[in-house]
Amino acid sequence: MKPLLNQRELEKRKGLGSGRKARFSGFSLSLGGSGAVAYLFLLPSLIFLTVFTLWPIVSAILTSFHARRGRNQVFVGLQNYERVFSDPLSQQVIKNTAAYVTAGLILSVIGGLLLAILMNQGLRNIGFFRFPFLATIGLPMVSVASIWLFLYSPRVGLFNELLGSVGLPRSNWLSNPDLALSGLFVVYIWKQIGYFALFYLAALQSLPGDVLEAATLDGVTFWQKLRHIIWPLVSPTTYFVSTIAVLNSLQQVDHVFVLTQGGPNNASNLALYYVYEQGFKWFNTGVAAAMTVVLLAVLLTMAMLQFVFLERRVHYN
Amino acid sequence: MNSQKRRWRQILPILSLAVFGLIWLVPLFWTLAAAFVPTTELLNGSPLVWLQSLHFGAFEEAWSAAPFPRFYLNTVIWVFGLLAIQLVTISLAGFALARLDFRGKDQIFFLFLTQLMVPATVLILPNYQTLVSLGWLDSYQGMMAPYIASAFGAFLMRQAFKQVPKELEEAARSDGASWLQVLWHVFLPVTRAPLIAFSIVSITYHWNEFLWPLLITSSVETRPLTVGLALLVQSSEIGAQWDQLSAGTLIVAAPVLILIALVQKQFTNSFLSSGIK
Repeated sequence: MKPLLNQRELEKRKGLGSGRKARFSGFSLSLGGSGAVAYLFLLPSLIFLTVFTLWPIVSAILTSFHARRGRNQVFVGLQNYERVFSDPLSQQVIKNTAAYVTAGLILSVIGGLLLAILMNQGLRNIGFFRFPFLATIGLPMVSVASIWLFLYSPRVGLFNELLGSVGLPRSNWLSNPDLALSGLFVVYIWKQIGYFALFYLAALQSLPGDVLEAATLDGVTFWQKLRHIIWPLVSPTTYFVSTIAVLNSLQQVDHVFVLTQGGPNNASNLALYYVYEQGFKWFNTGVAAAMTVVLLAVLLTMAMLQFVFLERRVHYN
Repeated sequence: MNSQKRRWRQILPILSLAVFGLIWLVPLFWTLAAAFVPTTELLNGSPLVWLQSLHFGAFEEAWSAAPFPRFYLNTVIWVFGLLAIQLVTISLAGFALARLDFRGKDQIFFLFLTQLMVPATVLILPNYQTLVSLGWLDSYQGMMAPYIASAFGAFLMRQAFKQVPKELEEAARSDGASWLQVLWHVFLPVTRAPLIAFSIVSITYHWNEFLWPLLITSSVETRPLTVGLALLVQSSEIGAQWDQLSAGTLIVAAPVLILIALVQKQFTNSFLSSGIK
């Protein structure tokens, strides 16, 4: 998103929209009818954007003010929102989601950067070492969750086998309310950390090599190098990774289906799973819509923050 | 002394990456072992015993426990059908945004931007209701509908088209070529890289997608692999036939793993470009 916006801003400043440029280039006659062509080219996208991106936002807001009474939908004002924010179950869901997203944000940045530094060795066969982290990105979350269901299994799981072999007590990982959410989180990080590392890797590789080289030769410790050289230099990437880390973790739901179904006792229930349960299991479409709107509000706030940040960057550059 | 220290400085990161990578692979190895070794031998025997008791039975069982061939077909139809449609919509939209002049460009640009900010996963409830009123439940077009317009793809193509020299376009135009011909003969042949990048991201994303197909599909004729696997896991969880489950997991994941192993570099670059999604 970043480069696109940047470029757009620059165009505006220079007054050089591609079309406008074309108009001055002496081909104004042949470009006379390009407006109609443009709409025709955009039509398929516009139809589907309107019906499946714009309309659902409006529709979710409308539905969130209604509730089912018998066979009718009646207007209930803010009742669904009251429920979303005051009901113990949904409070638990919001708490879980906030914890999940925050932990995801921190680990994506720190873990992603450290992994990228490890991956950024000038080794010829480095691809071989990167494969494990790439493979997990591409795997379906449903397969990944099935793999971990087996690892977590109380009777035959690998973790309990390992614990048992060193004489430690076995645990029922996913049925323990204190561990279930962390259990989901570990699966998510295992799958996704390589994705975030990729962005840092690209950033590290675009740094001038002699900067990192020089720091190594001067006998600087790794920590100093990380803190004073790498961290400031990759800060645009950190900002970017933070945004997609939040977006990413907010959308995680497949592993909830396979591993815990939100249990035990909603200890691992996340916002999107709550939308699914309320909307498609209990048919409380109003409540599900209200939670959808809350999620939309979070996403739009993030987009706004990003926009403000970009404006600043454009000014400074 | 000093050179020895320096050598350690070089070896240590590679060593830790290797160790870390091996640990990362444990769940995959365990699944692989579980699919080929009967569960009792897997738990009680040593790796030597595992090698002696290798069998392929679990794959046959998994393959027949659920209609996997049909699920495969469904996934291929919905993923590649969608990709074909997307390649058309993003090329057309990207071209208009990059090369054509028209009124309301800013508003239309903003509409695309909205889709970047609001992922379809969040809109499952209202989109489901739309599909109900369209009568598109349990259909391929229903699964595809929210993704047919792709802001990510349109912007990716817009960026690529902007870099095509103006002279090429003007030459073709003055020869009397229509805009569609210009797009097809001049622009698309030189923008294969972004088209491939988009394809890799789209295929991986939708091959792996679960929640939306789960909600939309209700029959064997439309269900994709991911939904089939989740149902298999749920149905056998109590019986816990782990060898069968592991085999099923590998059946679903194998094509993706092979694809990544084959085109690792391309895959990496494609996912980097997906960051703008």
